[in-house]
Amino acid sequence: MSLLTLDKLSVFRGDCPVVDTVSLALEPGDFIGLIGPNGAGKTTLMRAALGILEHKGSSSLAVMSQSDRAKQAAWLPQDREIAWGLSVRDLVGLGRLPFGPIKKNDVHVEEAIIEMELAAFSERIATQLSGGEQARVLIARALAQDTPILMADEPTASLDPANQISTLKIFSELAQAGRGIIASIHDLGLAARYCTKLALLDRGKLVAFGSADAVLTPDNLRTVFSIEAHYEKTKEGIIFQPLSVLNKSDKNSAQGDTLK
Amino acid sequence: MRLALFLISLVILLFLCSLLIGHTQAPLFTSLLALISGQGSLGTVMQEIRLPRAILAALVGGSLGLSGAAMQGYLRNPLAEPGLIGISSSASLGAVISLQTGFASMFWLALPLSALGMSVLAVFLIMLLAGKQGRSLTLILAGIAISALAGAMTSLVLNLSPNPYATAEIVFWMMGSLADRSFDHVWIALPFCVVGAMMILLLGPALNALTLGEDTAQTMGINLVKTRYALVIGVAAMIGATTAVAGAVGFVGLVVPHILRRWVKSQPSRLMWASMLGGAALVLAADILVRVVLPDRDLKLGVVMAILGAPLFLHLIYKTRAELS
Repeated sequence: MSLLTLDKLSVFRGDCPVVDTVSLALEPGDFIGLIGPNGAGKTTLMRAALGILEHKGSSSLAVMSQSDRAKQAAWLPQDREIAWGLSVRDLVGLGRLPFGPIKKNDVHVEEAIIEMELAAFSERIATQLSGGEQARVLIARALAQDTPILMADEPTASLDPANQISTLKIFSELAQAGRGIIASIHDLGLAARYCTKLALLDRGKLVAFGSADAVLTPDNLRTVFSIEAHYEKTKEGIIFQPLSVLNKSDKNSAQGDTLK
Repeated sequence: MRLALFLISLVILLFLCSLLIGHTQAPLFTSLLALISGQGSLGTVMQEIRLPRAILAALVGGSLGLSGAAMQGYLRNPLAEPGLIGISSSASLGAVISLQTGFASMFWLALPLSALGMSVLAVFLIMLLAGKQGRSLTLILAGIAISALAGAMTSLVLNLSPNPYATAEIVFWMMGSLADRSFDHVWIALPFCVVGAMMILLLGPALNALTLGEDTAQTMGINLVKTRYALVIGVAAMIGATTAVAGAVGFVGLVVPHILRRWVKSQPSRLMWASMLGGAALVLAADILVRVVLPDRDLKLGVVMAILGAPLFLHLIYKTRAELS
């Protein structure tokens, strides 16, 4: 049974569709990498799926009651807001809010702290940490919520390479353990390596969905991202490296192609 | 926990001081005996003047401190204060109109009722203006608009007032005071403060969740619209009632949460309890100061509060600056 089903989900800003009739299913074990250029509607799609944005069509999450939803899906937004100088442990503990009063030494909290390698910081004040460390604290907060679904908006932005890799590894382990993950990722190379499926959004439309092989085709890269890239399957996994930006005329002709 | 014990004993201590300090001096034991028995002139002073005054000080301070902490937690801004949503200026306007028109002198309840009525009107206006979405920005904007309007109307009343005595009375009332209050004032404020405080204290988890922003709070099961209703109505009940009985007392709601935040590890839910006790202690202390410093001049509580509060606040800014650099 799917963890999350989106059926013809659309979000309008005025008359303009920002997310345009997207249908998608998240199965247990999926780690879906949401990719697409800036303004493609990645964040909007996730927020609508979570039911915190008005939308047309349906999302199986959005129809649930708010308290059930909080036990079903955790959300990690892109703007890393931490309003007050809480200790790291208290902040991670907020993830347990949907489950009633927060216990001291909650197992989920301690596990999340260890998972994100925050044990050394656990008594530090979260707002005094570096941007990357704060990002890890917030990921730990979402992990502590311990939900079947985790949605993350650019979880790897502003992390160093080691932390980018370890974060995506944690996500893929969570997926292997039977959860469903959706994360928007700008680094296509990382997305190709760690996600089980990629969902390519372009101007609000889901233009491709499936394995990296099926989604990161030269055609899709040209029409959606207007780039050329090196794509190779090695025994170390997929190696993807964008090489060059196609110039405008190429892009226009490419768009012309798709219109035909 | 230790902080709670400290604050509770501080409030009790100051409450007792407030009972014992005043025009009529008597030994501790005699005073307390008179308070319980109510016999003799000392008994009357204790039961009908000092006791309601001390209760009101604690009530006003607790309401202001709690509202301040709740507003700061909700708006995620250490500069927020209860006056921000325009309730205190609206309550003042209600009181000022009743003083100007002479309605206030018709029966003792007239002034507090006018103040409360205007607060209720302000709440409806704010809810109407702020919209249904439950975002905090629209609430601030609506609050600023209402504050400005109520302030302007108050100025207009003063401006057009033909009666200099009424004007003076209004000006003094607006400075805020707890002098010459009776149990009638306690009974009118108490139910609003208790109901308001209960509504606000239940928001602890919601305010904690809001630390991570409105989007995240929503996905953690917090209903933003309900939270905002509870916040506005709770704060309005407390602030409307306390302004109605004590006039406008500033700075408590701003300074108290600021001082106590570091002692509760910045947790918004715990800060509410702490600020409620801390606010009660601060206003009790200020009201004692009013009586001790210039006993014969009817020094106004709001004035003393601002004189105490502003330097405290400057000190905090200085400290914050040092932490930021």
